[in-house]
Amino acid sequence: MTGGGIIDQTNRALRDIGLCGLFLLQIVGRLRLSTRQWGEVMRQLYFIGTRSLVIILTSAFFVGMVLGLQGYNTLVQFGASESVGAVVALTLFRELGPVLTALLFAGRAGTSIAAEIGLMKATEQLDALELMAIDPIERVVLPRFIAAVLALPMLTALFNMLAVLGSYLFAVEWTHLDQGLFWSRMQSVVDFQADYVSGFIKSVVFGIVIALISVFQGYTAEPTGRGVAIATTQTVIVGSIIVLVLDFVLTALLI
Amino acid sequence: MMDNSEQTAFIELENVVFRRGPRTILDDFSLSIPQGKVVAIMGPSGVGKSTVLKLITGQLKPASGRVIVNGQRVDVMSDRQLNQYRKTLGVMLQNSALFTDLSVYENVALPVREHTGLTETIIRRLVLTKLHAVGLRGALDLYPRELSGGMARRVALARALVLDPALVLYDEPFTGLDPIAVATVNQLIGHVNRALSLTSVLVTHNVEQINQLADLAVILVEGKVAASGSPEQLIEDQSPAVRQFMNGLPDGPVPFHYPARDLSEDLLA
Repeated sequence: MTGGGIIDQTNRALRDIGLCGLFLLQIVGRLRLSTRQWGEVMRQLYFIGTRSLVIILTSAFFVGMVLGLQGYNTLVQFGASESVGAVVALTLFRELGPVLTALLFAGRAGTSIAAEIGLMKATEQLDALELMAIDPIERVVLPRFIAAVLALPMLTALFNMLAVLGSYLFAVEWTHLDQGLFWSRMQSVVDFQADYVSGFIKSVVFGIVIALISVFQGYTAEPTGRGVAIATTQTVIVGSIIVLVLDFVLTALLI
Repeated sequence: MMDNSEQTAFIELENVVFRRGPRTILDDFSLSIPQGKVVAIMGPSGVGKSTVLKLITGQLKPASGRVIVNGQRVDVMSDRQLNQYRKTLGVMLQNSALFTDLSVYENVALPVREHTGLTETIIRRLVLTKLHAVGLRGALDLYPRELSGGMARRVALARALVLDPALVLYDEPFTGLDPIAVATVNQLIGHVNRALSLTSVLVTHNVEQINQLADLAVILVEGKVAASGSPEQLIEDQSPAVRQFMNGLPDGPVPFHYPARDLSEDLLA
């Protein structure tokens, strides 16, 4: 890439960050908490949250099993196999739970939000709303944004639960580790405040980031098939990168 | 200009200039649309017909000039004023723009729910009346994906009319429809305009339908009004641009070739 190309790209990225920030202010400014708005939020929560359950829970279960397997194989060499539950829980609650759920959520729900809003724009549905004096940000963007922000922490909690269950099944049922030891080591090592709450804070921040990127990409998409395709792809790429970068920043701040 | 000295102008565009990037779409453009008529804005694709419509709805603002609708300056309205103004408009967009996640009934009911505090019983009566008027009362539970192009256009018409607007704007209402649907939509637009004493503005390039439907027609060429008058007057008009458009000739004042270098230069290069 030429020097000019890099400068152009940087300029565009900085402009998008600025526009994204302004868009967030526009969304938050329209929060009314009216019954009708919450009704729509609940409907979107179903589409965004409930429909992401299959991919999140299946992934969580196998991630838990793999962590159990890897943890057990390493710990058994030091005669510390009973700590497998604690190691898995720490890995999950602090890092893998929030990060993997956010990445999966960007792929499953983020793309669907961006594509839906982008398509509404391409088929003039957003124009139609504006022409009926109905604010498209309040009507279309806000409910999806709020639903995505609410869904991610809940999905992360479910991811953590299923992953712990997966590791439990591997460690206790497969390797016949004592289940009392498995749970008691986990209980004594994991600190609710330092481990679980810090993970929860991460998932809230990731939720806001992915929700904002999805609605922004959809709303500002070029109103063509190609434009919608780019918005969908960008949601995953930008969403994933920002989640991983923010994960480092948040870990450094919270540790 | 249109001879409408005896009629009240409902919409007036005065010396409007509109540019998109370096290109001037409308250049010192003036148009007066009388109240209670069906007026067609015609012209070749890309000439700025839809731009005129978007100036009337306030979606676009002119670089200079004035846009006046029913005595109000649309081009200087704030967002709040535009919202109030748009509640008095009905707009039917080119591809109907029905909300895909809502049923036919909910699509038509949406503007009523948003802008009035009417009870569900009254909303239902209102929506059913409008759907009955476009012949689709039986389709109220269908979703837009289950409708044909003509049916979708009729639902969009019912939705545009549900708040009893004074002005209805139609962007290419006949595009992509089969002959039966075209005739149906044509008849409905005329009927609705007469029955409800509306002012209707259509953007279209369907010459045949306009002859039957419009009271007045305007032909735009290169960002200016090339001719205006009743469809009969336009058929008689002898100016080359009007003849080319009315008779569908591929070459004329609107050239067949996109501007390019000389052919021999290009081929021998």
